[in-house]
Amino acid sequence: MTIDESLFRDIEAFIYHEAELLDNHQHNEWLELWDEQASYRMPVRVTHTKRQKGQEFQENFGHFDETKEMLGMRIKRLSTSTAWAEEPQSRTRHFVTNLRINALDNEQYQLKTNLMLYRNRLDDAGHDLLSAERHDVIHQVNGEWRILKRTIYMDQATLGTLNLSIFL
Amino acid sequence: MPNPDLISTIAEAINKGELPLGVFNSPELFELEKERLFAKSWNFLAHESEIPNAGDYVQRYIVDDSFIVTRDKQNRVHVVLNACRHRGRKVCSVEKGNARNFSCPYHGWVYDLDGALIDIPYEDEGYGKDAIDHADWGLMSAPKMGIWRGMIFANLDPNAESLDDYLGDAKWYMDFYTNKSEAGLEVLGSPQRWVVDADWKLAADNFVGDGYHTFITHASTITAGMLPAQSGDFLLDGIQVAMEHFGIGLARQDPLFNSLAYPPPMMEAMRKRFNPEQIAMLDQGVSLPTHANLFPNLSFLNAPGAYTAMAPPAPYMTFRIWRPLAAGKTEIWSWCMVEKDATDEFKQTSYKAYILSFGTSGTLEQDDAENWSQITLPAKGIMASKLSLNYSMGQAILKPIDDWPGPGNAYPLDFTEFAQRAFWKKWISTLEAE
Repeated sequence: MTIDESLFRDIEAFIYHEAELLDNHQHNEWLELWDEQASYRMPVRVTHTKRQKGQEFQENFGHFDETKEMLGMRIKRLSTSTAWAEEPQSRTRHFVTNLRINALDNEQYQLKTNLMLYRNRLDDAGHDLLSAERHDVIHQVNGEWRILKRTIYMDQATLGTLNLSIFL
Repeated sequence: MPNPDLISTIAEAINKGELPLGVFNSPELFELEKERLFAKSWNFLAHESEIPNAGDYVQRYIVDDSFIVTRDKQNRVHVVLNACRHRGRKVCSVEKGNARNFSCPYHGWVYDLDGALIDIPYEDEGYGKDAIDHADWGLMSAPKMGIWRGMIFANLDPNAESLDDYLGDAKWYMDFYTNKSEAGLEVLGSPQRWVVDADWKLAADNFVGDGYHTFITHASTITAGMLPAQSGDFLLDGIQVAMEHFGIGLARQDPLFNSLAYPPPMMEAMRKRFNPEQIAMLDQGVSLPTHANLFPNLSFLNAPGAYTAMAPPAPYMTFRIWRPLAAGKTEIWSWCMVEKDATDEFKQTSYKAYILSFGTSGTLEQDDAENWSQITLPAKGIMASKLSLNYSMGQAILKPIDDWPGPGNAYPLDFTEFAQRAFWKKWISTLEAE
């Protein structure tokens, strides 16, 4: 099904808005974008041969495997003054590109986006770069977009960052 | 060669209950650790459940040495160096898979799952018929390997004592992690791997005997609810056991923590598997063992974690390897372990509890790694590297418990540093040995 231009722009604006909330550390506002039944997953990736590549992403084991409640607990922690991994906070920039939209048959939309996440902390001039493809399912609740499902497919098997105290 | 003054200065400090900060970011010590410590230690590589079927393999490391851990068609486990005997190319370049054999992409030498050389392309033309004895040119096996409770270890020292002898009395405590059920453990998925700017010894030092840090480092996780303890000092009134090569901490405050949130039927079932002395320990009102480290860099953690208000906390268990990559740089390998015969529901809740508390995104782990990196980075400094760190906790006030049913010296507080001091004594004596 083709996606008309205005719908495409609307969804595009939504994902940019979402990225902005994360980069601004507006975690509570970000959490509101998630459906009550949401899942947020980042499967562990294991390098396999090309022939066995289908087994690369672990179905049942991730770096994240969150319900909305779990996301909320993480965010509550970040709001304390003792979440040391984010004290001071990471400076992040979510570059979200290559939006592809596929209409599902129940008024849900499947999005694919490419993510380049720049992360810098403290007075270090260096940075971590985390690259991934995100697969989202979104739908509208009372006229507002809500994310039902996000799966983050990392482009690293061994992650090159101190921790995942940030969201992708 | 190492500067003999460096080692003797550190040894003197350790004997006084001190440690120079520089040990956490020293290229000289890293090289010495590679040669004298990791090349002579029992290194944990994999769990048998990661390679359940014939032909299954994983690639694993001892510092810079890559090994393939395989299961052959006779169900035997092998640990072979991942380097072709012709030009040294890695014959396995993936982390995991299933294979009939390993074929080197450079010139096509083929090796069986046990490392035996099967084929040299153009052998007759290039080398002459029967000129090469294939038996001499297989993939090198690790000089020693051993399996205990499904845990596969290797040692690069052909003269090393057996794994069983090395584990020794530590097995009495490791039982609690590995022997909770008839079927034993399995790995959920594959280990999470990530690289941190922190020294491996900080992680080992933390897991071996740091009950103290939780009240401040992990305070946020009590506020936010993933750490289901009354307060962050839940290990204050705990037990710490120090052995030469092993240290472990136990809680003894509240009933929930003591069972680590294992459901009553699992607690009852596991009690039938422990021996009378082990039961006597639990019946003193102490928890199942929580944090531990087996020298040098295999850590354990078994703890309760909450992930929803809709269900009680669940226990999770993680095995760790802190793989040194360079001075001040470590690759963390985190396995999430669960009883193989547990219900799918238990496995799922245990996984959720793990992922919210430990591993790459774990909320307790995040703050641990932050501490370790902020010790490691400044440790390079000229003045900072000589800074003397205080490792004296408990020395002046604690004596071992007389009637402790288990091996090692048990102290009646986990806010103490006996296990850490034992770790550092073992570390420096290993580096001193030629």
